[in-house]
Amino acid sequence: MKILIAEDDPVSQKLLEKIARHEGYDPVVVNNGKNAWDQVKKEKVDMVITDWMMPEMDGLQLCRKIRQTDLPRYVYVILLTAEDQVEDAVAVFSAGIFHQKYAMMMEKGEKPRLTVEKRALKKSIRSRIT
Amino acid sequence: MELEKIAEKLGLDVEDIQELLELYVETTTTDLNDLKGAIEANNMELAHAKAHSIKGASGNLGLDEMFELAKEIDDRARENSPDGLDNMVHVLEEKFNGLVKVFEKSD
Repeated sequence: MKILIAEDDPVSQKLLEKIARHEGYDPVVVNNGKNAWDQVKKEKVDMVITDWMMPEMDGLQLCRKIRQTDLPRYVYVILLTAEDQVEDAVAVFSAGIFHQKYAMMMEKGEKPRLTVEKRALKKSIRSRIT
Repeated sequence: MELEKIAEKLGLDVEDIQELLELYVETTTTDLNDLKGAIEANNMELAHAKAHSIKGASGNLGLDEMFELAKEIDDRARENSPDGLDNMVHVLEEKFNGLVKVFEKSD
């Protein structure tokens, strides 16, 4: 499995790279969404782990590009974010990411984010019904 | 601060954590200076970006108090509410300086 990491923060970038290598993967690391999109088009990428806020092209724009393009294979996307407002979660859903993964997040931060996700999901469902 | 605990939580070696913490101190020192400058200049967009960066790096390394303080600054800057940010960044800086001393002792 080829993993692409898109992250501009050097600490988080190094952390993700180390974790991926510990898990036996050989990740490709890029600094922004634009470079990530170039890689997805050129290389056989199976999974993208991306930050949200990045220069050039952010994580949501990258995800939209991936979901809106007829690629030869399905590309899994994991969006890493500490944004926890309802509107943030709705923006994430609308970009085609329905289950945010918090694999790299610490225990303490998980609860409120998951709570927000549920609230946003309910709001999103309500808006589709009405 | 027990490096072993962080390493176990993240599934990494202690050497990896030491390397990451060194990088964290280097980048956060720069981000913190930029954040102070942005707050002084009332540039909330830049303050948001810098606080967000500190928040992300701190959260990913499990430095919860740094994460919470940076998050509060990030939220206020994002809402364009500069009142009290100078005091908050001072508290953040003191917390960071304390952490740096702890990291140095654990080397």
